[in-house]
Amino acid sequence: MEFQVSARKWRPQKFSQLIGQEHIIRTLQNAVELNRISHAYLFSGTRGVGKTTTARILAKALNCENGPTPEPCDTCVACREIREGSSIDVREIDGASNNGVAEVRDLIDNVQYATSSCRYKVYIIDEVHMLSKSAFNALLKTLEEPPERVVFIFATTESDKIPETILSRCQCFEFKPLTHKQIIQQLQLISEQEGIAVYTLSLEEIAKNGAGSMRDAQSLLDQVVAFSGKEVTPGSVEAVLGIVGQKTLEIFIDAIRAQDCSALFAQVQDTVNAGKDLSYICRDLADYVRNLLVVKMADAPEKLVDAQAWDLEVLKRQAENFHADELHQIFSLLTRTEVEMKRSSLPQQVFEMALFRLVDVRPFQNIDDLIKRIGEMEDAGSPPAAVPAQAKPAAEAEKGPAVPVAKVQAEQGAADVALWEKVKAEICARKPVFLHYLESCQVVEFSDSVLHLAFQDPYTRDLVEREENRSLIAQAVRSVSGGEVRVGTSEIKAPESQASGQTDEIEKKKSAAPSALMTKSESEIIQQALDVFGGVLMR
Amino acid sequence: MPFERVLGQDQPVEILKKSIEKKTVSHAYLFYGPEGVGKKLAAIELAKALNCLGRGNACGGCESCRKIDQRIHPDFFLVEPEKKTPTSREAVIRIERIRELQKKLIYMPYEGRTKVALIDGAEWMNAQASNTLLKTLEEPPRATILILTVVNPFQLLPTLVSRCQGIRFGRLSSEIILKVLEKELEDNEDIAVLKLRAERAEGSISRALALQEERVEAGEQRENLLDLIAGVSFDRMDAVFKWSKTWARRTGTLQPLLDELLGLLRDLAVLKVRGPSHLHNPDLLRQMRPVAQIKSLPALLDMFDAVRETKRLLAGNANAQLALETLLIKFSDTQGRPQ
Repeated sequence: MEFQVSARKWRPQKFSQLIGQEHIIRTLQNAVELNRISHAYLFSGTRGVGKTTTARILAKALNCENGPTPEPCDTCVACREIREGSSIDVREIDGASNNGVAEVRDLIDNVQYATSSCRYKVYIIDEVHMLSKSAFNALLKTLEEPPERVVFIFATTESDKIPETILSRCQCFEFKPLTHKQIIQQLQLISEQEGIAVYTLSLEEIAKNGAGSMRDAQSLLDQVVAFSGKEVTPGSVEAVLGIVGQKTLEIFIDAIRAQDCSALFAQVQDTVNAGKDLSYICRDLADYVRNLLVVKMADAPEKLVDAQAWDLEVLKRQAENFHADELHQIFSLLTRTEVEMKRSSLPQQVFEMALFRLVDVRPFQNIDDLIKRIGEMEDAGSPPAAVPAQAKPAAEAEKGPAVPVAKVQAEQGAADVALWEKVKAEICARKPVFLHYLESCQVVEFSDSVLHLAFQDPYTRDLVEREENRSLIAQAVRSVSGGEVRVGTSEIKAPESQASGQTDEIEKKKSAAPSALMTKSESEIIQQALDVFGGVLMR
Repeated sequence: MPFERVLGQDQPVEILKKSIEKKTVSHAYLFYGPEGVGKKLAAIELAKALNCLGRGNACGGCESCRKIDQRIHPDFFLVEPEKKTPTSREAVIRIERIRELQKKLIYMPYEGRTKVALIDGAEWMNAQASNTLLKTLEEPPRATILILTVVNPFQLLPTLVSRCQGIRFGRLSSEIILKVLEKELEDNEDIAVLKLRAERAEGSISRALALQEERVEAGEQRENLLDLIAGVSFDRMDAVFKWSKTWARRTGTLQPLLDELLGLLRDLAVLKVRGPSHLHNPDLLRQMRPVAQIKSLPALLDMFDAVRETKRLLAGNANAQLALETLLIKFSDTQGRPQ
């Protein structure tokens, strides 16, 4: 006989063999017994928990020669045919391959014909989530009112992809993931029957990696048996999966605690050389940190941490060395790293650097403590508030004498500025192009008889210098203030302007000072830009 | 002897040999492990062993073995990712190919004893293709074996993984890579050069062989990269922009270049915490030492993360120049980190 993997060989053939899912089995058995069979069922749940198996057993229960029975005999012709997949009336359809509307129409066409040998016509559509939208819609009417003695059973891992109109027409059953205990029991049964000697600890390990799925666990068992033969030793599970035991994880955590990068790095190299899979180690390390956290926080950790798989004493000792916040930090970094490693082509680098980082983020300040300490300091005599109070008088004293000067300047300036704005508006009204010229100029002097403008560049200045423009400005001033002014111009860069003859020495100094200041800061800015960006200044 | 061509994978080979001996060959295998370590080769050897007409399993000399080697055996099916059009960016395995395969698998073996379907690069199956495979993978027709090879089993549907017997392939030691390199490259290069390449291959033969093209070019840039790590700062923004501009144009070399950068940063960090052991770039030890001296560990780690982020962005088609500039600005920013 051809070799069959455990998952197929040990597929339950009766309700009594099915593990877990008692709530579903009971419901179905009662339905058969009371003759209240729905015409459509939907089984959903994670992989390897018994959806397809339950569907097949239900088909058998309905069609068994001993009448619809809560427990099929599995020996009669009908049962055997269904088991072998050769029954005409029980069709198992791969929803993922036959997902189009054409296949569904085919099916609907055939639904109306009576059964040939069985009592019920059962359509099992597996992976039903892959049906296309139109395929689902084509099913709706048939699914609502199928011909007599037709039962649809849908099985899927992704019930959220099923349209609601389908869901509302089915009896839905959610299959639960299996517990470790259930998986271990079944594995023990299998290994006993197959004559495999296996330690409970190894089964524990397998069940853990099966993550609630019986088929995963059975595949793993096959894998381990293929590796080590009929004698499964505790080390072989670790060897096959490339995972490490608690001892190695302890060493990692201890090294992180001791902030010993060197030891961490050496440990990584050792594990890699031992042929271990780093992404599993990262995952297990996160799991380990989770356990540390549980041991630290929980009142009765024995209930939350699997005491058979983990050495609680060691966990307790290590947990004492860490602050809960640190463990949180480490955990989140590890989970992030796990994702990164799956994406990276060089996971080892990522893992190494993450470990260095774990050591690096270690010295941290608990924010709660900091806040508390600040609070305490404030209560103790509020030194932070005292500092500005002392500083204030000094600042005022400095300001004191400066106030009158600034005030005078400001008053003069205010009058000038207001008048100048009016003049500017007037000029621009007459000749809009001036808006641009005057925008960048500075008013050096604006008195009853003189208007002196300073420009940034010689070009603009030359433009304004022209006779017609000068007279335009003079006219504008006349119309605003009524006074006659002479218009003088200069360049900002050159303090000794050409128009200096019209201003006295003091005025000149006054005007030169701010413009020189301006020039300096501007060149400074340019210099800084040069420093940052490099390059040559072009004018 | 079966599997003698598969080097350095003692554990998987042992498992497969035992399974053949005891006739407990599973109907579905998942070969997973890093790129270029012999997964596909092992799968082909398995196919040969199951169909060999000669005395030894997978003798390599009989008609069946030869046919499988030439891919003309009627009972050996190889499915590989292929591009939809020559210009497509990614090669995928599409549902049509899987359906085709399913149709062929229904029939009994034509010539050999067992039909072997090898799906190489199973992570490139799209969602429809993966789901279509589920039922076949769970209960295939008689005398059929399906082998999936994949780098990262987490990228597959969990429902697929759960149906297969997984076999883990580890990375190869640099000695074995060196052996393969010596055999593959006839124009025997300097043994020291080959050795270096073997060490920098990260346990993957395809990586070691691919080192020839873009990687070599990126590899030549290592000293410049080292200078960049050491020298980049806010005082030299001109260098930053110049560098980004030069490299942004060469999109093909960019990922290998950033890989080199990662390797250098990793080596610097290792130098810092442990000293010269297990370095990727042992030949640059002399140049790296002073850089490791001036850079702090947190700065190196920050740089490492920044490069990884940039790699991710570039893979997502980000503007190369902007990404590189941002990277170097981040590099400059790490200067401020305390020792």
